[in-house]
Amino acid sequence: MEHSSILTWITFLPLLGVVLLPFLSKNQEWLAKWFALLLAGIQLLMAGYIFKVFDSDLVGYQLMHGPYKWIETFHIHYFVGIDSISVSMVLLTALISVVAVIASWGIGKNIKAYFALLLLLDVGMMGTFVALDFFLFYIFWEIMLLPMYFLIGLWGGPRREYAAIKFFLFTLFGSLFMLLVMLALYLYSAGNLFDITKLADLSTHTGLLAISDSFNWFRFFCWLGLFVGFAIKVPMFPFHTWLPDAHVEAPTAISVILAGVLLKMGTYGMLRFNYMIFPDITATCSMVVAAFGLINIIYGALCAMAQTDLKKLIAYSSISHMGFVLLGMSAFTPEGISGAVLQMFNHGTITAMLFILVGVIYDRAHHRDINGFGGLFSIVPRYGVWVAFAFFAALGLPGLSGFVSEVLVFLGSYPTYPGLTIAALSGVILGAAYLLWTIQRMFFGPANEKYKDLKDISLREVFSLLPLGVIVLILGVYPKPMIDLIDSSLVALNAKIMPYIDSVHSITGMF
Amino acid sequence: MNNIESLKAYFSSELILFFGAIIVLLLAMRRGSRDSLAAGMVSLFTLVFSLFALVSTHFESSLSLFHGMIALDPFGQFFKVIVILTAIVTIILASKSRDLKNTPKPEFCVFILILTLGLNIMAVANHLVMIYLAIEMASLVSYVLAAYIAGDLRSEESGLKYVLFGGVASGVMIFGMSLLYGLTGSLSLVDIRLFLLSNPVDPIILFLSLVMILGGLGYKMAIVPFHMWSPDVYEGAPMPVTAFLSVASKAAGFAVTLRFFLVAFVGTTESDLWVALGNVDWQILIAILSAMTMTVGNVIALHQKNIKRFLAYSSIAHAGYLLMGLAVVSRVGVEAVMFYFAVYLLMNMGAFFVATVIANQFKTENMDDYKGLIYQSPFGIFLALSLAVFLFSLTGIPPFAGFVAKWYVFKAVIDANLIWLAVIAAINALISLVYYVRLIKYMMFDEKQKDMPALNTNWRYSSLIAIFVVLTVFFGIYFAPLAKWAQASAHFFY
Repeated sequence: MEHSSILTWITFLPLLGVVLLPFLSKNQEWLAKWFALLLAGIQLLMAGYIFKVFDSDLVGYQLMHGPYKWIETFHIHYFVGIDSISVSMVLLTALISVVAVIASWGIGKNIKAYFALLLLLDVGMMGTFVALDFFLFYIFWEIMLLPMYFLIGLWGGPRREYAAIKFFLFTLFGSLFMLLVMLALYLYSAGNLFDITKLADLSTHTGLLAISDSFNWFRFFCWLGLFVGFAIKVPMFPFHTWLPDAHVEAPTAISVILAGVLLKMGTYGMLRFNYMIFPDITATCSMVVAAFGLINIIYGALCAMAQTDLKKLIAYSSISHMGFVLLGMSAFTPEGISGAVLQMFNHGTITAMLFILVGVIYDRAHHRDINGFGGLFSIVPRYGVWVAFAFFAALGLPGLSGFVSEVLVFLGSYPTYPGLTIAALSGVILGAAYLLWTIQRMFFGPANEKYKDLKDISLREVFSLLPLGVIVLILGVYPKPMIDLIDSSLVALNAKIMPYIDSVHSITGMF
Repeated sequence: MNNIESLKAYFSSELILFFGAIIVLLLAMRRGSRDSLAAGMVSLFTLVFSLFALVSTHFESSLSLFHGMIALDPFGQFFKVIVILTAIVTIILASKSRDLKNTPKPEFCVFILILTLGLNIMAVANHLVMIYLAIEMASLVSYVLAAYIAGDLRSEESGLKYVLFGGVASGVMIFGMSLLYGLTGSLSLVDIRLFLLSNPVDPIILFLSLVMILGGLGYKMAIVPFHMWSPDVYEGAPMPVTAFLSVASKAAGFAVTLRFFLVAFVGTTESDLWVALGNVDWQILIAILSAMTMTVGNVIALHQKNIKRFLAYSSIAHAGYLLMGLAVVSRVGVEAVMFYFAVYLLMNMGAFFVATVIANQFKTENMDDYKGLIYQSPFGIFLALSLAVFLFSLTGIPPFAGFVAKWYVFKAVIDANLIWLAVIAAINALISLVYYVRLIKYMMFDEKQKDMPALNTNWRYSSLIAIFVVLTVFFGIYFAPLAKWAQASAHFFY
């Protein structure tokens, strides 16, 4: 397997901006934006290169860099690499970062600090997806908290401080238990490992971690610690309450990153850690996870329907859509898991569009009350078309990318959980209901006199939407390249879980 | 080894401290601002020389000095380095402190030097009498230092409280020691261990005597329920003294406690820990004390308004995390405690430096006055960002060194199967985030205070703060050197 340092470069490139931006003088602040855009642009080009060289037929990790000794005493290594689960996330992160930089163009105060933090966040996100050493993963995972806290707390809306600390506390709560599990894995694995690739080999699990015929509670609690840590990020009901607050208060670009990338870390972490390292417990608990997925779908959709704040509505719709990922993941069918990973990617692009569109109207009208508009189609037609496009993608209109992944999830989960899948279908209907109803309230009916002079969507805003829109359209019509990219590792993942799966299917057949 | 040989070869660091203190004392007899500057310089040189003498002391294997009174081992050397480094930083911190009327008088430096000497001896005392004498030596000087601000009621109250608590604690401790002497017929920790391994003793009296000794030592470490003195003393004492007590005094307290339990009561191998203690499960006892200490410290810290009290409760909470390492009583636990102290020195002293700058310039210790610090001036940005680094590090968030320290103690307790304690500590870390971040919120998210004087850049302090920040980040990312040092130092003289 070839070694390559491309993943190190793509991860740490934005750090250059973090270091250099603070040294710009006051009247060079415009340079900060362009520099951030340049770095994010190079990152996207690198991601394109990775997409090109990534061999989708190969099972396992590719483009590995390392393992290099970092803290020798504790077998901590610098080790990065991607497989087909993470490659789509790397692409997504690079894409969303560029979009977020463009969407932040209008930031007014402390421009240098804002972009430096944004780039630091970028490092953390990229690192989380490429790290193959648990310690390294944890550092990246936590590094994201700091810029996110400041970005919400300093540039956010009126209740920003509350939202920022709530986000911080919820995530830290999860990650502290992840830390304990990390140590348990280290101490009870043969040879004291942090290496994720080796931990995935169940024969290294010894002592309290050893798999036995009877149910191993210690393994279960380790699994649970990881699962809760990731579920908070997803966010899975009942850990979801931080999300609407964070979204409502965060500036547009941060909402884009939050929904576009950060939520995916939760489900990515589950696939990488819970599935790979604890396949037995994952199989045993899969039905509960699927049930929580269903709750997410229905509960998120119902909450979204009750919202009058457009941003909150989209935040809840995110919760609903992430439920599909959980449902697809826990079905253990090839379609289910690839549907879940594809849904992660598609939700990232679609929701990013939605949040940018919310930002567009908020910048002009300075409020987001759905009922406070009306007849916008006649005032800002181009904006209306974009909103309609994004909403249709979100509700799963055939021909747009959301449809493909949802269908895959349903196809995959039906054989395992027929009952849950049928119930989850109602989430699609609810989704259509609240999204169409929102369009009706905002864009149809008599035009609101107050907004007669509203400016239509600007060129810069179109530029931030365009790449996402194109991808949504292409993947809606021709999803094959993306599915091919995702598929190969899922074969390996399924092979891992299959030995434990028979019991699951026999129990859960009735659902 | 006999006295002359010990003095000649292995005691130069302590001797330098002693003679340095005498020279400064002589300087103190002539008053004048030039002399107080000279006193500060002489003390700094003394400490640096002493540190140099300490690290250049080579010994093949651990030794017993002064007929078994003092042990020469890597463990003791480590803590001595921590104490002396803290003293150096404290002298610099005291060089411009509002609490000390700008420049400290020569006698202040004398006290710090003597206190350093006392704490150093605490770290190596291997004999109950020596332990008691060292603790008393350090305590007596600490009482004076706590009450050092003449005419300030808070400071006087602080000194008096310290004396009263300290007196009771050492009385209880010496009673416990006499019981232990009665049981084992020996005062040397090594002999006590040998006796206990071969002879059965009355477990109830042994338990009683150990609880009493733990009371005295717990007072030095400021652990719950022996912590009551520390918030008041920390608040009343001058800022540099508070900083010194919260790091060096605590470090020496942990050193003496670790040595006491690990040398006198550990069985022949690492696997039969606590075996000499009979039926009582001491591990659980210490673990409960640890859980109580961190919880009480963190919960009370939530409501503090005064920066010194805030840091006092935070340091109680950290004593709780450190006790996790003691509860484990293995090499891993000792290593964790040592690593923690090295990091704690950086982040806590760093926080005190920033607090001192603000106390000097804003003339306030109230945390409300930190609001909008970052908008004051470029120097305000520097202070706010540095303090944020220290506070995040104290919370235990990567990539700062405090995270690695927490990671270390967590590792030690999970290794010892005390998973419930790790869970409690994790929840505590979460609680601590609330109050540490509240201060960060004040500094960065809140509006600028209107009636605050402009901040003047203080280069002497800023450069040290910058060093602390850099080290905190560096050891957070690459902690191999510190880890190696701690690992190599986790050896006792048996």
